Amino acid sequence: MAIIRMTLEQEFVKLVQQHAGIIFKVIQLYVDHPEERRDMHQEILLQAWKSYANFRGHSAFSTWLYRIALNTVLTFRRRQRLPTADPPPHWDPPAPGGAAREESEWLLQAIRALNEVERIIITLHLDGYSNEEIATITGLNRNATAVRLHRIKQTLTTTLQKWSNRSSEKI
Amino acid sequence: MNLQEQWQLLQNKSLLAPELSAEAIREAIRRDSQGPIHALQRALRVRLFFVGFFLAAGGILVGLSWPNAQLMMLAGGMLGYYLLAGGITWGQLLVLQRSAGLDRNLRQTLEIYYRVIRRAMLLDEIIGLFMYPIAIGIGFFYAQVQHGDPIVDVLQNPRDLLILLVVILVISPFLHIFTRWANRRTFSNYLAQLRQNLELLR
Repeated sequence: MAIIRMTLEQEFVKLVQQHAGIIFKVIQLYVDHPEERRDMHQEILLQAWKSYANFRGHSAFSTWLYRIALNTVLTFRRRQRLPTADPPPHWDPPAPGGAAREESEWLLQAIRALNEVERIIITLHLDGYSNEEIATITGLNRNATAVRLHRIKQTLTTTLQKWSNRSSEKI
Repeated sequence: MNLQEQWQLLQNKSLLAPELSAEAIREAIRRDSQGPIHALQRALRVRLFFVGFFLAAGGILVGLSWPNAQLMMLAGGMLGYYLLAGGITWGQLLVLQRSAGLDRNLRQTLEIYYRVIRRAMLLDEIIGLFMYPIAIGIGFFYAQVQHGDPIVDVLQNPRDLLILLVVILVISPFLHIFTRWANRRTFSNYLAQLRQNLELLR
């Protein structure tokens, strides 16, 4: 029994190390408080381990881990309030040569300003998941996923455009 | 630049995960969960411990009441009540154990968490509603009967009856309301958080 558990644990550790980026990404997108980030990271690992015995490989490990991470974050009692849709006041216009990096930071900020379900849909989409896979992870139907995804992309594009215009005015 | 390109940039900068050591993973999977269902499980285990304690006390009381039939009946009533409370708590623990998994889809997970927490609150309030009057009523009668008064005499004594009514009609509802208030205070924000996301998934 102990040998089976050890083998399972080794296998789990290896797989999690390979896909650690998923957990990190979900936490960056959903949790603001640094202390809470650490707790959440450990909680996701624990929940994944608890469910690992039931993992049958029907989906890729990365999809399964994404699902566990999102479910853990969304069922955890959170302390902080959701961020607002405005860019942070301390943000300066993009520095010359650093524009591309700044723009991507704005995308992160714009995603964090979406509601929690929209954030899931767009991050899964940007990570290359199909509408069907997104629907399976969230429990939405495929049509609703497609419609929402379209709307979210429009919102993001408009928001980023607005912030970009504002920073050009500053320059 | 399109969203996909910006996302790729983010993945290589702000969203680039630091290396995760095997020790850190092993340490994380050996700790206790901080999740709400597990917190509820811990609270129920504490309740089960107290129920076990009172069951043992009830058992001793039944033994000590021998051969007074009225005292035995009262102690037996207490024993029966705590057996029921223990059964309900045990059942709740089993439901929580089945619900704790997080590998379902998001909507199912949120629905299960919402239902389980609501049910736990409701059961807690119902047990609270009956627990205090039953415990206090039985305790009161037990004390009177132990002094040598038969139950019929206690019920015919206006002073004793008044004390019993005050306890049942004032203190019991107060304790029930307190349980309700404490539960709402603990879980209302969390339930609102779950409800809000369930709305977004409809």
